[in-house]
Amino acid sequence: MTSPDPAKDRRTRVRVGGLPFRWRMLLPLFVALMVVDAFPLVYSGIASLQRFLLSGADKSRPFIGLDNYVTFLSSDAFVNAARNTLVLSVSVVTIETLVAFSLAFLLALPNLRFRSVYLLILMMPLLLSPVAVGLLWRLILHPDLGVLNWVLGLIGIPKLAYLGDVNLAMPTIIAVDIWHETSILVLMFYAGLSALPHEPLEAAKVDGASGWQSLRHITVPLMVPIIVVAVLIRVVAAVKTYDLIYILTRGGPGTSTETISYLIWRTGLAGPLDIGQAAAGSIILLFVIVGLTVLLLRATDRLATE
Amino acid sequence: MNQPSHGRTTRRGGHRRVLGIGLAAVILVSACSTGGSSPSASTAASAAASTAASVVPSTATKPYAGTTLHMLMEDLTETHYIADLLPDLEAKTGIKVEFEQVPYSNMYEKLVPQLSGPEKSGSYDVVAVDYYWPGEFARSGWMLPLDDWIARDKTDLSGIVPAFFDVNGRVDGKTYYVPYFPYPMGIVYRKDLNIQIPKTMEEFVTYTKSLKKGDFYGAAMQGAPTDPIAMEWLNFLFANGGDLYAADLKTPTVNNEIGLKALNQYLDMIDNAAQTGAAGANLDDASNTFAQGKAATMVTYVTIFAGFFQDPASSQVVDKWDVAPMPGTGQGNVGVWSFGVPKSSKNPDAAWEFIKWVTSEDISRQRSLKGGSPDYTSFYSDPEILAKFPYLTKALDILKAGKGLPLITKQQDLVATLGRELSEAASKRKAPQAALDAIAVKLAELATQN
Repeated sequence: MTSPDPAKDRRTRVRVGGLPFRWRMLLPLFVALMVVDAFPLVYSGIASLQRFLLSGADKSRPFIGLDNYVTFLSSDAFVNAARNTLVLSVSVVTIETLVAFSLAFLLALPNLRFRSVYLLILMMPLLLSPVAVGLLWRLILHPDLGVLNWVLGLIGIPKLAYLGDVNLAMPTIIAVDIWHETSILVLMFYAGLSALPHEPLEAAKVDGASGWQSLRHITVPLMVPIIVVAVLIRVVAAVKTYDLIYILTRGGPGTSTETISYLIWRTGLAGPLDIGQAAAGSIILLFVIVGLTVLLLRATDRLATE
Repeated sequence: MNQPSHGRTTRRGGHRRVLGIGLAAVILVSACSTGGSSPSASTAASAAASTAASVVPSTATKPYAGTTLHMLMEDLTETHYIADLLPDLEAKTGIKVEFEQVPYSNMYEKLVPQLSGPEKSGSYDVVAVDYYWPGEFARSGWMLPLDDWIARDKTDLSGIVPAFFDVNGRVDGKTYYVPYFPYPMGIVYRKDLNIQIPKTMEEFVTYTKSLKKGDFYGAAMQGAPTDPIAMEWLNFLFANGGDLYAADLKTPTVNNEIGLKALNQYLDMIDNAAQTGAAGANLDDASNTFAQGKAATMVTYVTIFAGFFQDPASSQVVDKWDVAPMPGTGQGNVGVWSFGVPKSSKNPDAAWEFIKWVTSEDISRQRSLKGGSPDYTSFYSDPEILAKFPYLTKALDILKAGKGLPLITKQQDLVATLGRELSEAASKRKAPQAALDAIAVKLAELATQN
C-alpha cells in the first residue's frame, strides 16, 4: 500500500537511517566533543578523587574522597598561586582593555591615514605563539646582554633585573602579556566600532555634543556587549596563564610568579608526579572559570535589558 | 645573543659517597695497567677488539636494516657528537636513529608520560637518563634491566669508570643504564686575568666580591628555579662539608649549621659578586655572561664547555679560561648521563645495539676526541685526548673528589623542592633557615617513599 501523502513519505524516508538528518549532521561534532572534551574531563574528575601517583612501585589508585581537593586548597602554595593569578589576571585584563579600546578608537577615526599599516603592526604580536614571545622577551630582557637595558643605559638608567628581581618579575610578565595579547582586543573593538550605527553619533553631533560626550554616552554604551565578550575571553585566558610563566621565570624568583596553572603543572609533571592532586587543582580551576563566565554573562544580560 | 648549545646538566645519585674513593682506585689501577706502553696504541687495539666483539651483530649482517630508533636527547654538544657518528652505527647494524633534541628543562616532562604508558607504546626506543632519574624510573617499573643482554653478548663495560655505575647504572642490584658521559661541577675561571681560586669557601666568597667592578662580575651565577639554583648551591654545600642527609639516608642534615653557612655564602655571592639578575639567571644566561668576558669565575659543569667557550663565534674567552675544583673540601656536585631501554620501547633489541655501540670504547673515544666528556678511565691518561683538552687532567681531580645526590626514589621531587626553596631565599621571600627547614621537612617525607 502506498502513502497518499508525499510530504509524510519524505519525512518517513529521512528517518529510515535512524536519527533525523539534523542530528546525523551533528553526530561527528558530538563524537569529537566526547573524545576531546568529555572524556578527559570525566577522567580528571575520577583521578581527582584517587591517590594517583605516576611513579613509584605502588601503582594502586584507591579512592580517597575529597582529600586531594582539601590538600591542594589548604596548601601555602595554592594560596600564593591564587594571589599571583588574581594580580596577573586583574592587571592584564584591565590594562589591555583600556589600551585596546583606546587604540581601536583611534584606528576607527574617520579620515585616518595609513590605517592598514597601523593594523598590520598591531596584529604582529598576535601571530606569535606565547612560547616564541617568551623566548624573544627573555633575550630582550637579559640584564647584561639584552637590548632593553642597553637602550636604557644610553640615557643613564641603571641595569634592571627584570626577571631576577622579586619586585619586578610579576610587573614584567604583565607587561609582556599586554604586549602580546592586546592585539586581539584591538581587533575585536575595532570591528565593533566599525559596525556601530552612524545615526546616533551624527544626531549627537547635530545636538552639539562634544567628542568626549559622544564617546561617554553613545559609543561606550553601544559597545558594552562587545567589551563584555572580549573581557570574558581575556579573563578566561589570563586565569589559565601558564606558558609565559614557564618560559620567562619558571614561577620564580622563588614562587613569586607561580600561577595556579603552573602549580598544577609542577604538581602533576615536574616533581611529585601527583596526578590526583593536579587533577583536583584542574577541576577547581575549571569551576573558577565557569563561575567567572556565568557572572560575566549575567552582567551582559542585565546590561542588555537596561 | 648566542645561546650555548649545552643546556643544563645534572647531578647524580647513589650512596655515591663512594665516587671519590672508587674513582681514585680505578684511575690508579688503570694508570698502572697502561704504564709503559703507548696508551694511544693500546686504546686503539682495545677499541678494535671491542668493536669487533660487541658492536657487530653476530647473527647476520645488518639484522636491523629498516629499523629506526627514536630518542629524546638534550640539545647539547655531546648529543651533537653522537649525531655526527651515527652513520657508523647504520653501516654496522642497519639501525637508523632519529634524535628529538630539546632543552634540558623539557626532558623530564616529555619522558614521564611516555615511560609510564603500557609496554611498547612509547615514542622513545632508548632514553638518555640524567643522574637524578634512575631510581624513580627503575623502581617505577619503567625500565628494562640490561643484565641479560650484557651476559648474552658478553659486553665488556669494564673500561667505563665503575663509580659511574653507582651513580647512574645500577639500581637495587640490577644494571638498568650504561653511563656515557659524566659532568663534574667545579669552577671555570679566567686564567688570563691571573685569577687565583682561594683555598677556603669563605675566602672564595670574599675574593669574588672584591672582583666585581662595574660591568665586570666576580662570578657568573645561575640562581633561577628550579634546577639551576639547586645544582649550583649543592657545590657550596658539599664544599663546606655538608650534605642533604646523614649516612642513613633518612635524617635530613641540610638545615644544620653547615647548610646554613653554605646558603648564606651563596646568597652573599648572588647579591654582591654575581651579575645583575643572577637570581633569575639559568645556565644559558650565566654561561653567556662568562663567555662574553664579563665574569671572573663561574661554578659550572667543567667538562661540557669545550665547544662553547672555545668557539670564537660564541665566546670572547677562547683559550683564556681554566678549571679548578671547589675550594674547601674540594667536593663538587657530580652527575652522569646514561642510556637505558624503557619498557615502552617498540624496538628494545635494536635499542640495546645502539647502547652497545655508543658506549663502546671506540665510539666513546671518538666522542672524547671531539670534545666530549670521557666515560672511559683510560681516556683521562690518553695523550691524544689530553693534548687537545688539557683541562681534563684537572677535571679528573674534580671527578675524583665529587659527590652527588642520595639515591632515593623521588630524586626529581627532591631537586624541585631544593630549587624552589633556595630561590625563595635568594629572592628574600624566606629567611635562609626557614627555606632550609622547609627542604628538610620534604627530605624526611621523601625518605619514607623509597
